[in-house]
Amino acid sequence: MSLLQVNQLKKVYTTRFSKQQVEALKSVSFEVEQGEYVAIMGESGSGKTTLLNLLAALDQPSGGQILLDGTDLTKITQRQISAYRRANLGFVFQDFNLLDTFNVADNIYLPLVLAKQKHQVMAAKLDKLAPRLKIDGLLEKYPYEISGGQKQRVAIARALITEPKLILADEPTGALDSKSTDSLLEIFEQIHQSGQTILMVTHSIKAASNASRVLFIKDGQIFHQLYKGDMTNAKMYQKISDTLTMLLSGGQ
Amino acid sequence: MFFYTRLALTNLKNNAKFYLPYLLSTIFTTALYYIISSLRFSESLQDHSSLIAFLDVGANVIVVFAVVFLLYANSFVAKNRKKQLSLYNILGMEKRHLIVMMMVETLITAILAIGLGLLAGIVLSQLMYLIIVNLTQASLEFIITVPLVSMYRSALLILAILGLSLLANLVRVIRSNPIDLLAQQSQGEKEPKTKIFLTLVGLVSLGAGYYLAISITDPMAAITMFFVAVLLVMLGTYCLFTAGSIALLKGLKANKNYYYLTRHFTAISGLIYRMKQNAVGLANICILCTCVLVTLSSTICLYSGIEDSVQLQCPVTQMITTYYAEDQELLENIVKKNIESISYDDYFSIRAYQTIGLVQGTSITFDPDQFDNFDNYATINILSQSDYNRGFNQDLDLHGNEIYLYSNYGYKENRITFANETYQIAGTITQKAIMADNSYSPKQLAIVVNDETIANIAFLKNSSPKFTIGFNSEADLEPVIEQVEADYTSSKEKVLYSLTNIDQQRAYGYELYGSMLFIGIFLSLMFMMAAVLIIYNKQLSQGYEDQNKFEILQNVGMSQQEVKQAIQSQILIFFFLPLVVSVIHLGFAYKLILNVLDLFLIGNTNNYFKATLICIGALVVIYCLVYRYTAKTYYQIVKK
Repeated sequence: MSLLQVNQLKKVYTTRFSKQQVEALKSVSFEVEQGEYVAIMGESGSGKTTLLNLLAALDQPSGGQILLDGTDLTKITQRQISAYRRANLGFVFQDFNLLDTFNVADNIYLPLVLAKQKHQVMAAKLDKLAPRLKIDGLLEKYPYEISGGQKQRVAIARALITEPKLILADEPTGALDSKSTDSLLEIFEQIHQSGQTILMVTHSIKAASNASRVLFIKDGQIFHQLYKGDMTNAKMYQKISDTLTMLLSGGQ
Repeated sequence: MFFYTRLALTNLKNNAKFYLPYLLSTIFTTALYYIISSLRFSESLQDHSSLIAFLDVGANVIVVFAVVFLLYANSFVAKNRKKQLSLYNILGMEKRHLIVMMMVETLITAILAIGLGLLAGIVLSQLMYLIIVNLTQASLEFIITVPLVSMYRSALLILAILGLSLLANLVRVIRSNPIDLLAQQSQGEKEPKTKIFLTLVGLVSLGAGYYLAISITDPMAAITMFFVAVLLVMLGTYCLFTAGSIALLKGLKANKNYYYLTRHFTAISGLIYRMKQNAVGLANICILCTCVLVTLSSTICLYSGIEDSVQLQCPVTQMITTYYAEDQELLENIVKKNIESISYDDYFSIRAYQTIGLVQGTSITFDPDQFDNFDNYATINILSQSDYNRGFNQDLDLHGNEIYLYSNYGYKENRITFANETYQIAGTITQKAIMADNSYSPKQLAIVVNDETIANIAFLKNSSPKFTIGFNSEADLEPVIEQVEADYTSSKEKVLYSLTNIDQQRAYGYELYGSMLFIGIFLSLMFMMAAVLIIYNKQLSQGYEDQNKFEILQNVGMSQQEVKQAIQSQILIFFFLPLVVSVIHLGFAYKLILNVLDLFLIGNTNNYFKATLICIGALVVIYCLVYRYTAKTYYQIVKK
C-alpha cells in the first residue's frame, strides 16, 4: 500500500461577504510511495497551497480523503490533530519559520520538547543529525546570525528530528540564492537517498528536476505527471520546462 | 497649509492606536494640573494655609511628573511612527515638509489637549472643590471658580512639554536616514547577556532597603531613613527587573532538565526577550504601583485616625494651661469669673509635673536620651495627693510608698518602680482629664503620690509643674476664652500659656490630614494614569512582537490552544510581576511607614492595617480591569 493516498480531494471556499463559491481543488487524486520524492508544480492560484494545507491537516477538505499510512487525516479530531502532525509530518517553509528567541539547537528541539521527550534523547538525535546537514558548527548560534541557506538547513533538521513519515516542503528554495539552492537540493537528495519520503511544492524547475516524480496541477486538478526514471537532472529540467510551456500556452 | 492640516489629521487618525492614548494622557495631565492649580488659586480656600501649602507641593509634583511622563509617551509614539515617516521620505517628501507636517500635528495635539483638558478640568474642579471641602470639613459654600491664572498656567505647561516633544521628534527626523529606518524593523535581536554585577547590586540594595525598613524602630531615624530605604529599594527594583530577571531566567535555562520541559521551554526563552526589551517599563509600573499604595494607605490612615487622636488629646472641650504653676490662683479666678455666664460641667484644675518615660515591665526610666521603640514610651503626669484632691474634689489619703495610678492601656501590676524607689499601687484613677495637656502619646500614665514623697523625688526638683484648667461646654467659647486671655495677660507682665480647644484641634486635624488625603488621592490618580499608559503601550508592543510567533509555533506543531496557553502564561507573568513586587515592597515598608506615621498622629496599627488592605484590594481590582481591557488590543493584533 502507498504511504500517502489522496482520493478525489475537493476544497471549496465560500467568501464571507458574497455567496459566490471558489473551487480551489476540484478532484485531486494521487499516491505517493514509501521513499518517493515528489514535486508538485503549478502556477500561483492553481491550488498548490490549498493542497499542501490539506495534506498538512491545517485545513479541512470539502470532500474526498487523505490516507497517510492508512490513517484518514480528515477523520482525526481537532484535539489530536496537532499531536498527529507533530509525530508524523515534517514541515519546511519558504521563509524558514525559525523563532528568533531560540538558538539553532533549541529551534530544532522544539517539536521534540512539545512531544515531551527527555533532553538526553533529544541531544543524541541532534548529534546524529547535525553533521549530515552540516550545521554542527551552528548549534549555539541564533537565527539572525546565520545565512538563509543555513537557516533552511536548520529548518530541515527541525523537520527531520521527529523522524516523520512524510516531509512537506513549501517552496523551500524560494528565498535562497542559487548557490544555497544547489546545496539545499543536494541535501534533499541525500535525505531522499536515506529513505525519507518527501513531498515538495515548488515554482522552481531546478528544484523539481531533482524529484523522482513531478505532478503538475492546474485549475484545481492534476494535469500531468512526469517520472524521472533514469533521466539526468538536465534532461528532467528540459522535460519539466516543456511541460510548463505547454501548460502555460493552454495546450492539451 | 490646508494640505498639511489634512495630512496631519489623516496621520493622527491612522496612528490612532498609538496616538489616541498619548492624546488622552495629555488631556488628562492638563486637566489634573488645571484642577490642582484652580484649587490653589480659588479665593475661598486662601485662608486654609496648610491646604494651600499641600496644593502647592502637589502642583509641583505634577509638573515634574508630567514632563517626564509625557516625554516618555511621546517617544513611544515616535518610535512606532519611524517607518511611516521614512516611507513619506522615500515617496518624495523632503525633510522640511516632514518638519512642517509634524509641527501641524503638534499644533493640533496642543489645541485638542488644552481645549478638552481645560474643559474637563473646569467641570471636574467643581467636583474636586466639593470633595476637598468635604475632606477638610471646611465650612465653605459652593462657589464656581474658574481662575484665569490656572488656565494660563496649564496651557503654558502643556505647550512647553509638547514643544520639547516636538523638538525631540524633529531631531530624530533630521538625523534619520530612510534606508536605516526601513531596515531597522527586520533586525534580529541578540539574546541578552547575564549581568552578574548589576544583579548583585540589585540584590544588595534591595536587601539593604528591606533591612533598613524592618530594623529601624526609632521614629526620628525612620523619617530620614525612609528616603534612604526608598532610594535603595528603587535602585534594587530597577537592577533586579533589568539584570536580575535575566540572570534568573538564564540560570533556569542552563538547567537542561528543567528548561527542556514543554511547560518551561517557550516560557523561559520568550520571557528572556520580553524582559530584555521591557524591564525598565515594568520596573516603572512597579514603582508607580508602590507609590500609589504607600501614598494612599498612609494618607487614608492619617485621615481615619483624626477622631481617635482628637479624643485622646482632648479629654474635655477646652483646656487652658499655664507654665507658671504659681499663677494657679490668679488663672483659676479669671476663668471662673468668665465662665459664669455659660453652662459647663466636668470642671477640673490640675497641677502636675509632665514628663515622658520609658516603661519596661514595672519600671519607668525618665531618661529619653535615646529613643528606641516609640511603643514603649508613655507620657506621664506626676502630681501630689493634695493637688489631686483639690482639682478633682476627692479625699485620697496615701501613706508612705502608696500611690494611685491612672493608665489608659490597662497597667496590671500592683507596684511600679521609678527614681530608685518602688511604689505600691493602692488604687486606680479613672478620670481621663488627669492627663490634661500631656496626652499626645498612645500610652499614658498618671501617678498620684503623697505630698512628702513628691517633695523627695529628686528629678522633679529641677522642673516646674504646669497648671491646667479644663471643662466641657457646648457653648460658643470663643468670646469667653478671648476674655480669659485678655484678663490673664493684662494682670501680669510675663505670661506663658496654651489653649487647647477640641473643635480647633479637630478642625486643624481635618484641614491637615484632609489636605494630605486629597493630595494623596490626586497623585495616586496621576501615578495610575502613567501605569495604565505604560501597560497599554506594552500590550501594543508585545502584540506586534508575538504576531508571527503565534503562526510559527502553530506551524511546527503546537495546537492553537497550546500556543494560546503558552503565550498567555508569559503575558500574565509579564504583567503581574510588577503588581506582585509592589505588594511585597509595601509589606516590607509596612513597619517603617507605621513608625513615621507615629510621629504625625497617634498611631493606630489597626487603622493602618485596614487602610493597607483596602488599598491593595482596590489596586488589584483596578489593575486586573486595566489588564483585561488592554489585553483586548493585544489579542486584536495577535489574531491578525
